[in-house]
Formats: sequence, structure tokens, C-alpha cells
Amino acid sequence: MKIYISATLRGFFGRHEIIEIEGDSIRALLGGLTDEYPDAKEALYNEEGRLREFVQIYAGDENVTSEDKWDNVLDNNVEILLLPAIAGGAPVESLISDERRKAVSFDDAEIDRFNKHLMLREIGVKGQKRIKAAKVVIIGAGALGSPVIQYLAAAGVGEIKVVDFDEVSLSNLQSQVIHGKRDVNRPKVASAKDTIKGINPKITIVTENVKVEADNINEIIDGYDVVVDCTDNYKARYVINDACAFSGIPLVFGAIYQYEGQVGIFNLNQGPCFRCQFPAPPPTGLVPTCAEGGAISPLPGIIGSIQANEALKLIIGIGEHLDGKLLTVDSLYLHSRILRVDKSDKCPICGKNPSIFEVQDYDYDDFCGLKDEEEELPIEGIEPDELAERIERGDKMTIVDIREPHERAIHRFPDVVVIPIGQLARRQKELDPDIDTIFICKEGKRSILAIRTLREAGYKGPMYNLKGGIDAAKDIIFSHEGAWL
Amino acid sequence: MMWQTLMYEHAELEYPNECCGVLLGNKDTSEICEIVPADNTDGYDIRNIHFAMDPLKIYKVERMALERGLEIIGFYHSHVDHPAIPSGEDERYMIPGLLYMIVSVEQGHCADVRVYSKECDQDIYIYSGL
Ligand SMILES: [Zn+2]
Ligand SMILES: [Zn+2]
Repeated sequence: MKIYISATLRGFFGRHEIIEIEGDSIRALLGGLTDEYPDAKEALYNEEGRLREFVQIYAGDENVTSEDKWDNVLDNNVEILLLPAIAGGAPVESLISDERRKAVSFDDAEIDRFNKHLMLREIGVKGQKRIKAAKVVIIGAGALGSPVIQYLAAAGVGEIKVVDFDEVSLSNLQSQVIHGKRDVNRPKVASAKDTIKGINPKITIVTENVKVEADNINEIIDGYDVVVDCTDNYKARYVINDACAFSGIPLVFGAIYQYEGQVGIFNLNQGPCFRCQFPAPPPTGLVPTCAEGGAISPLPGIIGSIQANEALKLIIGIGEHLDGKLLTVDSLYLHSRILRVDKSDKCPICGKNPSIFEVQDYDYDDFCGLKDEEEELPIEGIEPDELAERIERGDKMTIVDIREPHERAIHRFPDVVVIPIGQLARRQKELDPDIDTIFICKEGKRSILAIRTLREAGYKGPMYNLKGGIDAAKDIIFSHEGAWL
Repeated sequence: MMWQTLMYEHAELEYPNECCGVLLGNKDTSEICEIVPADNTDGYDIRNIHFAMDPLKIYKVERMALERGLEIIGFYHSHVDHPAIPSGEDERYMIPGLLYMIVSVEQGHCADVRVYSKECDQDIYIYSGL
């Protein structure tokens, strides 16, 4: 077929205007085109193999740039056009208006305190006034919240709201550096408030000791300039994203898992939202929460500090930021990369056919199949003490540990078959369908998913889920079997 | 009339929205001969901070230009109450080798104009300040 190359793109194709390529679909034609002009490949595709933003493909007057149209069979005589996309956006603007900035003043102590900011050309007095005029909500006063809250307080943000429902526990102290030993059993928001006051008593601090949900999120973020998501679970993330998308408040998102973290900015100036990239949460069973998954101690410090830095850049209106991008940092091998997040036509909030019109509590258990649906067979559970008895009796059964290797290292379960959840379906022959099989994980949630997976794969033997997982079994099984630890 | 004057008028006329258009000229000498104003096809609510051109319009412009011995050598757009510095999005849409001119319109009046060009996967260089 004949492909017309726009003069603006001809440089990549030996200056040819018309190129003849065999093929009856866009995908075939693009393949043929880059085979013939290998240099064009680098120019037309980015590192992830996606077509660069400046390329548009037309079949006649129909735009067929979107990859889901690349396999359609083309009309024989249609003209294929390779055209440029010419577009752009304005550079960063501060979230704080000039009127609000001008209403702010400093005393001598503040000039002294923020001296290091005032020295920077990009921040200066104007930028510092914007910081002081800013109102920021931080949701989650845990691992990510610790650096975010402390740095924003130290940087001089005028009003900080901290939202968290939890209390400080001893195991939090490994990474949640805003709390100390004396704060154990106190509400995290109370401890965070004390820390902020210690940094700068002039900051207006608002705390809410609640879990964010559909019926309180709008009130929580109303009137604030930016929301920093420092939560550790998908349910909260989606509630926060949706509320920010509907109210137009920009969101600085952060997440950590083991050694890796992510930061992104969503809902800025009608830009992409979190759902544009991740339309719906993944099944809980497949994604351990931070509480389940663990993370190296300084990782939230790295990721949270980047979140705080991005929030400040938005407030001041400087630099290049992660709007419509997702930065991934691997702290183990020190890789980092930035993924582009485009506003998606298919997004359930900002897409062409939206299906979500207000913030809803997402029925997580229902979504990921943990709740028994009518047509689905119920999962049979086994209580930890019952399992302990059966082990003691020496019952013939198979115990399958589906946890990750590092989780098993903390609490080892003896005489188990270890099969990671992803391999279950293909390794089902290792299980004896004539005896009971008991599945264990950390919290008893992923094990339910494991049973569902095997049932779907056609496994017929009796399967049981250890209720509450190893967490619930710890005191019962491990207490009189110390050697198991 | 000089193409510069036309471009400034276009930018001021569209204020407080961003304007955009095509730069025609001689590709070998990078000499701009004339401009072709285009419609900003982005949504009404975001035209003050975004712009986009219809690719089919560009196709028509380049066919017409060819008949007159001219070529598209770049594009221009305006920034409303913002400096004439490309945004991250501007950069991502830059085709290597073409000229990108940004006019800064402050309070309705053209205040600055700068030209940028990008080499393949390299930094962006300021080609010239006018
Ligand atoms: Zn621009
Ligand atoms: Zn979206």
C-alpha cells in the first residue's frame, strides 16, 4: 500500500514522500516501514516501544493512531497518511495565586529560618510566601507520611492536615520516623502533631483520626491546595484519587513495596488521573499491602522525600514535575525510570464514556472475589487451633505455603509444600486430591485466591484455607512449637 | 506584512488562549518566509494552557506550500502569562529537526519570543532569540 509521509517526518525516511509497503493493516505497514528504514524506528517509537506523541496515523480521514486500530483490515485503495501531531501545554504554574501570596508576610525569625530557601533564585521571597500560603493534606502518617509531613513542616507550609486512623505500634518504628518509642499505642495523628509543633509551632495543624472513605473524603480535602497520598492500600488510593479528580485538587501519589517505590502527580489542570493508568485496583490477594509485603527502612524516606519535593514544586511553580508521569525507583539495584501516563479515553472517570460519577467506597472484598458470591462455591476455612490439633494427631494432609520466600524466612511452617501463587495452576499435580490440602499465607486472604485459582484450573480435591493466616496461627501453633520459628 | 507582525497579532488576538500555527520557509536555510495560523483544537476549558492542531490541517498546509515551493520548517504557539520556555509536554511533541517558536503573551501583549529545536533524543537547544 502507498503511505504518504508528511514533509515534517520525511527526514526519517530518506526524504521520500510516498513509500510502498506490503500489508493490509497498520501494524503490518508500520513493521514494513521500520524494516525498510531502521533509523526511523528510534525516531518514531520511545524506549517503551510506544509510538511517540508527535506521530499521527490516518487511513483516509480516519485517525487510526490508537493501537487498538492497528489490526483492522484496511481498504485496498485507502490512502495512509503519516502526519505530525502538533500540541503542547503551558509550563508549570504555582498552585497558589498571586493574591494569596501577597497576603503573606514574614517576621525576622522567619527570614532567618527560611534563609536557605530565600537564597535560591527559583524560590526566593515570592516562593517562600507561596509555601506559607499553601494548605496541604497528607493522608497517612506512616512510612511515607513521616518524611512528607516533616519536610513540608520544615519547608514552611502554612497549614498541614494529617489524616490517619491508626495507632503507633512497635513494628512501625522500623520506618515511621515521625514517631518514637514513647508514642507506641498513641494515635499516629497525635504523635505527628507533636512532631510538627516541635519543628515549627506557628504552623496551623489540623488532624483527623479517621479512615478515609467515600462519605468523608470530600470534606477532608475540601479547601486544600494539594493532597499527598501516603496510604498503604488500594482502597484508600482509589477513594483519594476519585475525590481529587472530581474536585480538581492535584494529587501527589506515592507507594512502596519491598525495595521499590513509585511517585506520580495526578489530576493537575485536568491532566490524567490515577485511573487513567490503573482503571481499577488489582485483586487484593495478588498484591500484598505494605503491612503484608514489608519494605526496607529508608525506602519510604526516599519516596516520601520525592513526594514532598514534588508538592513543594507545585506550590512554588518551578521545575519539571511528575505530572502525568510515574517515577519508579528501585532502591536495591538503584535503577529509576519514568513512565508516561496519558489521559485515557477508557478511564472510568475522565474517559469518553465515564462510569463513575461520584466517590464510592469500593467493595474491595467483592471485587477481588474474597466475598462468597452466590454462584461461587464457598471456601472452607480451618481455624488455627483445629489445624494445630490435626498436626499433632499426625493427620495425613498437605499444607501448601503460598507466601513469598522472604515471608517464609520469618515464620517457617514445617512440612509444607512451597508453591508460589503464580505457579499453583501448573503445579497442581504435586497435590494429592484424595487428602485434604490446607493453604496458608500471611493474613489468610491470598490463600483464598489460591483456592479459587486451583478450582478454576480444575483441581478437584478438598481444599481449606487457614483462617487469618500465619498471623492468627502464630500464638497457637508456634507457641508450643518454638522450634518451628 | 512581515510574518512576525502577523504572528504577534495572532497571539494577541487569541489571548487569553494559546494560539498556534505553521512556519513555512526554506528548509535548508531555516529561513521563515510566512506563517499559517491554525485553530487551537483543544477543549474550550483548557485552551489557555494547552494547544493542539488538526493533523489533517497540517497535511493540507504542506500540500499547498509545496505548490509554491515552500516547506513546513516548524510551528509556533503562544504561552499565556508565562515565559517563552517549552513545557515538558511541548518537548515531548517536538519533532527532531523542526523549529518550535514560542511567543509569550503577558497581559494581552507579546513580551518575548524564542525558538527551540531538538536533535534526536538530545537536549533542546535554543536556536535563536529574536
Ligand atoms: Zn507550550
Ligand atoms: Zn482518569
